[in-house]
Amino acid sequence: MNFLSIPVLIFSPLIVALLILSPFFPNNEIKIRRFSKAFAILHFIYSTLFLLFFNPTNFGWSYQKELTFFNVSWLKTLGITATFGMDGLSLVFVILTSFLVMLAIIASKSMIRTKHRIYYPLILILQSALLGVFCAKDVFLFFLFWELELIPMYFLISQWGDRDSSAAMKYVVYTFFGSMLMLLGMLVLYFYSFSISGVLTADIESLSMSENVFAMWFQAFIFLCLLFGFAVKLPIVPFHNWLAEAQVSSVTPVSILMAGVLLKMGGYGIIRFNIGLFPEVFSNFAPLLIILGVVNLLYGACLAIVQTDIKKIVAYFSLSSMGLVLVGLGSLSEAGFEGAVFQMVSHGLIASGLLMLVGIIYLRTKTREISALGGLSQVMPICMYLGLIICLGAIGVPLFSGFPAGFMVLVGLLLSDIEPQAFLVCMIVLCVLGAVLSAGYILRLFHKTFFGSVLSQFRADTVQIDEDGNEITVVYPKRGITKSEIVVLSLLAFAIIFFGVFPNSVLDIFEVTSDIILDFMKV
Amino acid sequence: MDFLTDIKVAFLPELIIAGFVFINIFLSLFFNKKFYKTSQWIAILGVLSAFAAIGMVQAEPTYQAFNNSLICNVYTVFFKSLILVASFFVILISHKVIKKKRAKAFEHFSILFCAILGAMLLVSANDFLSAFAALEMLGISCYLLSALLKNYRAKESSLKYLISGIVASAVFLFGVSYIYGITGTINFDNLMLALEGYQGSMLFALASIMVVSALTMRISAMPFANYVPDVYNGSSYPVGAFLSIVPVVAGFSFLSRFLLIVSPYSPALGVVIMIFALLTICYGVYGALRQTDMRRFMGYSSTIQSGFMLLVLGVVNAYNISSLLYYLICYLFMALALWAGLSMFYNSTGRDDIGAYRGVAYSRPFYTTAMIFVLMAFAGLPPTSGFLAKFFVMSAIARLGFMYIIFLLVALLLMVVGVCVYLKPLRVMFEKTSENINMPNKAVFTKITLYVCTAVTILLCLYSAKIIEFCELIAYSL
Repeated sequence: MNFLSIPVLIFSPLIVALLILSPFFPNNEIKIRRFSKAFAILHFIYSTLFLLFFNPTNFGWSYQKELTFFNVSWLKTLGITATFGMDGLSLVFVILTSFLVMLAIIASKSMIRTKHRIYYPLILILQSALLGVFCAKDVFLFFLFWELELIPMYFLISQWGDRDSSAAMKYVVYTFFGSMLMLLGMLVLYFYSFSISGVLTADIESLSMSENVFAMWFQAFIFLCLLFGFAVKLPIVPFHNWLAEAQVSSVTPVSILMAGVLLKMGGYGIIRFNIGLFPEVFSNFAPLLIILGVVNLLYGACLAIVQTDIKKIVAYFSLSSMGLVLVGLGSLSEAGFEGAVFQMVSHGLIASGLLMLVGIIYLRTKTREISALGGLSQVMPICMYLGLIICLGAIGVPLFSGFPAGFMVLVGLLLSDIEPQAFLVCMIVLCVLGAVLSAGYILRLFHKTFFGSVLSQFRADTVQIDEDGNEITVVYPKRGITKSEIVVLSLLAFAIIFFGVFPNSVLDIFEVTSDIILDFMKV
Repeated sequence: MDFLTDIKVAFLPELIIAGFVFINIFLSLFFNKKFYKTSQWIAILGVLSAFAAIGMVQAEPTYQAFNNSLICNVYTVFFKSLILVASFFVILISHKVIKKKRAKAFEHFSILFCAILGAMLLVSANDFLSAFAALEMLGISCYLLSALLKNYRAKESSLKYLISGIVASAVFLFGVSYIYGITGTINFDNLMLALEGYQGSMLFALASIMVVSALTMRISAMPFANYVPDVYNGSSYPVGAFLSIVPVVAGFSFLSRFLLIVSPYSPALGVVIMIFALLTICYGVYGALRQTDMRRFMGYSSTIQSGFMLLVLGVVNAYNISSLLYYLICYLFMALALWAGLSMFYNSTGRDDIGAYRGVAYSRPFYTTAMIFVLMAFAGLPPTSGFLAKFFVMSAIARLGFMYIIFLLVALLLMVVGVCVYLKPLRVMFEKTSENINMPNKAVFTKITLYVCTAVTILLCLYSAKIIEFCELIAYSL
């Protein structure tokens, strides 16, 4: 399809961002917001067109396109090209990104009060960077977009969130630290594949062909360097420290994007590079990854249980869910692999939904302390019903998207070839324990905020005293929730139920890709 | 008339620059301070005509002039054009300084031209004697330039600069005397012939290390990096810009040619240089993290960047030198842009501490956008040329082999700290403040410098294929 061009998909948000930043654009909050919203919706529709014309049985990459500058490849002399392409895996994440950016922009209406002129362009630049990461077909192009995402994120966290905290700096330093080791691995890989094949190339496909000739310890070195970069992003437990702080100190739309898409960059990187380029090393390291995943799962769950800040509960829920991704990938079986990818998609939707709920509650009650909340179902019933769907998804109840994900990962673990069996059984038991714990903290979150007696300050008709000592009557919008918030929550709830009932709609997209990757591993 | 032919064929730009030194001195006798503005235009004219003359010199094949004490080839022409481009922008941003010191405007430019001449001769130098003469010419002009403000700090910084410079010169001569003792020649071409078949020795390596450490004085790297923040702090912004670019460019051109000759015969030299480089980055990062004065910050910052450039010279081959050349091009433009931005701010507010930048983002959005890109380039983040330059340098080290991985690893980790360093000013710019920063729009030239150099910094990342090819071409010609 000629009108489907990946460069257009990736760079159109950037161009729109520049347009909004340019002096010609009216400096009017409503115009800027509506324009970005309209663009985000169009962009989502455009990205779904890629799905419609995508041939899932096609081996390899579709929609390939190389970007040239004056008919010269980007860095021709270094063998680095600006080549984009999509396979089933990329496509899943591209659509997820586009969808969540759209929701984040819709949600921004009630959450963002200042500096719209910079905020919306930054979100769109971030979108460009994320799409670039998922579509890059060249190792260093991938790295460029990976780094490009840092700067908009730094400003989005530091400017619209908690201004005094150093969370943004921490985020940048952690990610940059990881990505530097990743760069080390990439450079070593690039030059050693050159020394063996004699062709200077950084194309992912060509690199995956030539890697098998390296010594095992050498492959393991590169593998660990790359894994480190992705581990910071995913995050895997010793490197998770930035996540909760960054989540808590950023505004809701930004935390939606962080939990929904940015964490998936790590998972995508592990699949694309660690599995795609080093299948043999990966199968040796698989038990370690399963252990790390289980540690993530349980440690995140334990941390979530003891939190009193509801946003922190959601942040540690993300940490815990990412553990399941690692377990799925480490199981080396088809079901586990597909479960891991499905878990990433499902977690993107569920975490966004939970964060949105937290954001809506915080906007109205000005508190995130779980002890200060209660009885909100009486003032905002719609929010409660939609929240219920999202929370059920988070627990992993059948017919909600969390269930097929967790189920497939466990089945994958059962079918795994890893020896000894006792190890697998232990791990399965621990995973199930994690699921039980998740039910514990998610239900606690839901129960403590929505049920119980309505605290007096949340009654719709109460009179409150504001900071200056004036009496004000708190007027909640109709049914306690605005239209844009209903749209966001119900779209997410719909997606959670849809993918829970028809998990194949996602799985079919990347089935061939996962087959290719797994076949590769068995050889 | 051999002498005149040499000048005509290969050294016309130097002649023009030397001519303008005298023109400026001459004019300073007759023009009083009313005509201080003319001096800037005359200086621009001088640099532009020298730049035009560069197009006329014979670069291919290598031309040996003045009894083979100076040479002219593609490599030197490339470096001379870099020096002239940097000087051009430095002159553009020095408007405010000559306005303040209007009685000394012509003297200022005559000294500046002396320094440019010294740098250009250093690039061309083909034996140790002419190199030493050029180094001293560059050095003495720089000492004078840094003393130009004539206040307490300027005097202190100039003296400090002078003393470190003298020590460096002594070390240089000491090293050269050893090399002369071993090979019996000071000319580079003869040196190459004399060293053929030489096994290499620790004494020779020691001599090379001495020469290299003396040159680190000019490129503001360890072990002679301590003076840099003080000197920048004492000099005006344009002079700071000049000191952070022109001696660095000239120093690296000489250093890489010198290393190309001696490194095969000097065991351990490469490792020593790489350790120097890493120490330099460490020192720069450590200093810059705690710095609140922007000029001192720039001093440490140029130290950090020099450290990255020095790192590739640990092993001298065409790929490494081409990555150095690309880094120099990028460094030139980003340093100019940052100095222009800082001097614009200083000229309108009169403050140079980092706290003065609080809240700039809200009153000057375009200025801040440009500064964001420039600081990102310094930190090595995309989509700026700084990213590609750092990437190129790191790839050059990765290419050397597994032994060098440890250096690469340390450098990459130091880059992480570097990001903190360069995000610090950005963070301050976005702090909330009630006071409105008043920055008049009069400084047209400074603004042009800031925006043009920022644009070049970004474009160099996108359209770099040709430039990298060009750098490789020049590196292979060496």
